[in-house]
Amino acid sequence: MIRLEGVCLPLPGFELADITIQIEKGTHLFLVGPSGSGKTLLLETIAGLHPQVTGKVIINGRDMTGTPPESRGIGLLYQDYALFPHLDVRENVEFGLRARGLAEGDRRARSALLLQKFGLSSFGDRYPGTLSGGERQRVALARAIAAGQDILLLDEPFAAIDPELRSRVFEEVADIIHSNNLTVIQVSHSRDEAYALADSVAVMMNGRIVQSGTRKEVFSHPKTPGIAQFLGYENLLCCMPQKAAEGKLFLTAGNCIFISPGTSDMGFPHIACIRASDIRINADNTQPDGTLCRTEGIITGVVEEEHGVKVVLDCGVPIVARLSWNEQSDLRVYRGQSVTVSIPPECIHVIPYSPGDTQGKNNNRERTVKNECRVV
Amino acid sequence: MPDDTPNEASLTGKIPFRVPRYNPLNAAFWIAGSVLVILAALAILTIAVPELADPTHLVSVAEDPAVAGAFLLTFAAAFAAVGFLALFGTPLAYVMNRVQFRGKSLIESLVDIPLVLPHTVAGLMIYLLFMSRGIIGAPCAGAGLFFEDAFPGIVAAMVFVSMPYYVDGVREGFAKVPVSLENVARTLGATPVKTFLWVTLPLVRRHMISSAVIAWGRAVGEFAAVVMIAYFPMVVSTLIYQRFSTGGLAESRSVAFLMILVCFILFFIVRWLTHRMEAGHDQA
Repeated sequence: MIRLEGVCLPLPGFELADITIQIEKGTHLFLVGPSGSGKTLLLETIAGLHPQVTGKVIINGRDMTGTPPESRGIGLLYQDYALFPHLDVRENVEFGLRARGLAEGDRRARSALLLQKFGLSSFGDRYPGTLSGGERQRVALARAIAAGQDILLLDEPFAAIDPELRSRVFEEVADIIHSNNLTVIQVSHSRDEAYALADSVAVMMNGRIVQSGTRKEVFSHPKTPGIAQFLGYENLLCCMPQKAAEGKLFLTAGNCIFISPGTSDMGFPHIACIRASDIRINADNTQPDGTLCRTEGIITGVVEEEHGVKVVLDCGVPIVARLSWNEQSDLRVYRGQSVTVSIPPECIHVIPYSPGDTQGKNNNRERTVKNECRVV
Repeated sequence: MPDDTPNEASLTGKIPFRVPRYNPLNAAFWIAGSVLVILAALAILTIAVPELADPTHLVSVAEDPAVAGAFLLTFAAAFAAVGFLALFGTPLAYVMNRVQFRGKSLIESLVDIPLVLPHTVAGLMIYLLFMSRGIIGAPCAGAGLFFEDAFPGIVAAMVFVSMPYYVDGVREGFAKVPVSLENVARTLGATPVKTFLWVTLPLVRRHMISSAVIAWGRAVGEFAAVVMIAYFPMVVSTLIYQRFSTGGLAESRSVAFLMILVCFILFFIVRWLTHRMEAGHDQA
C-alpha cells in the first residue's frame, strides 16, 4: 500500500503541489495527464529519487519520506526500460540481487527461474541492444521483480513498443502484475491502456492530482472541462439549465435540449460533456427512442478516419459525432444533409461552469468549450 | 492587385529531378581538407626523409643514453600526470555534469583556462605555486618533496596543461550516461557508490580512455610549462630545444624524428585498441 500525504516537491520552474492519494495493495493505478504535468516526477518522488520532498510518503505502513531509493523496495521502469547496456540479460536481471549481496549461486538460481518464467531463457547472454521492444520490457520487468519489489512504478512502458505487439505485451504485463499481486502505478498517455488495465485512475495537471477514483468514476464523471477534454470528451458545450424536475436537469445549448440525470444550481451556465461516439445520427429523420435527447442538425463536415468517420454537425452549436464504418455504410451521411441527432441522457455529463475553478484549468479551456461560453 | 496565387498547372506540373553522379560538396570538402593533410605529411616528410637517408646516425642517436632517458622520463611523467587526472579529474567531471551549483561557470572557466593561456604563463603559474617558497611548494619542501628541477615538477606542469582535455572529455562521457540508468540502479538496491562503480563508471570508460590518450599526448608534447619549473631532468621537448640551441638542426632533428616515430606508433596502437573496444561494445 502506498499513501501520499500532502507531498510537495518544489523545483526550479515547476512543482508538485499537495499530492494526497492512497493506493491499496494489489491495485493498478493509472496516472494520466498531459505532457509536463509532473507524472514522471511523481513516480520518481515515490521511488525516493528527489530527497527534497516534503509531506509524507508512506509505503506499506512505514513513513519512508526520507528513506533512500535503495531501501524502499520499489521497482521503477522507464519508458526506454533503462536496461544496463554493458550487462547481458542475466546480469541485468541479477543486478538487484547482487546489489543486495546475494551469493552468486543463489543469484543464478533465482535469475534462471525468472528468465524461464518470462520466456527469456534463451536470451540470458544477449545484450539489451540486440533485443526487441517487447523482449526489453520483459527483461526490465524480470529485473524489477527479481529484486523482490512488490511495488512497481511504470513510466509509459508501452510507448516504445510497436502497435502490432502492444496488445500482446499488454496482456503479458497484466498477467505478470496479477500473478505477482503487485501494486502498480503506471504513467500513461493512452486512454485505451487505462481502460484495459486500470483499477483506479488519477488525473494530473500542472503538478497536482486534480481527480482520482475508480476507472469508471473518473472516465464517466470528469470534474472539470479540462479533465473531460483530456479524457476524450470531444463535445464540451456550454448550456443554460432551464428546469430541474424528477431528478433530471433540462439544459439548452443552440437548438439542443439536453436532459441530464441529477440536479444543479439554476441560473448558472453548465458544460455538457459528450463523447463523439455516444452521439447517434438518424439520417431518415425518423423519431428515435423517446427517452433520448434529440435535435435536428445539418452535417457540415465528414472526415474519414482509421476506424470510421468523424461527422461535424451544426445544431445551433457545433457537435462532433463518430460513426463506425458499418454505421456509415448504412447511413451514408454527406455534407449538407439534414439529420436528427440523439444522445442517451446517461452519456451526457454536466459540469457546473466555474471560471474561477483552478482545478484542471488550462490555457485552452475556454476555447475547448464549443459554443464559446463566456461567463464573468 | 496582382494575383500571386500559383495556378493549378504550376502546382501539379512535373519538376525535373536530377540525381547528380557525384556530390560536388564532398569533392570541395575533400580538396579543402587535403590541404591540412598535405601540410602535416610534408612537415613529417621534411624531417623523416633526411633521417631515413642516414639510418646509422639515427641509430646512434637512439642509443644515446641521454635521449633514451629523456624519452623514458617524458612518458613516465605523462603517465603519472594522466593517473593524477584520472584520480582527481574524474570526480570533478562527474560533479560538473551531474550537480547543479552556484559558480559552476567559474569552475568551468578555471578548468579550461590552460586552453587559452600561453603555456609560458601556465609555466610561470606552476612555478610560483610549486617553487620552494610557493604556497604548495613550501610545505611540500618541508616534507622532502621538491618540484623545481625534479620529476614532480614536470608532472605538475603536465597535469595543468592537459587538465581540460581530460576533464572536458570525461564530462562529455558522463553526459551520455542517462540518469535513468542510475535511478533504476538505486531503486534496485544499489547504493550511490555501487551505482557509480557498477553502472556509471563502466559506461564512461571509453570516454575516460580516449580523454586519457589525448591528455597523455598533450602532456608528452608540453615544453614551455615544463621548462619553466624543470629544465632538468630533460624531457624530450626540452632535449630537442637544447640540442637545437647547442648542436644545430641535425642534432635536434634526429631526436624529433624519433619522437614522431614513437608517438605515431603509440597513438596508432591506442586508436586501434579503442576502435576495437567500441566495435565490441556496439555489437553488444
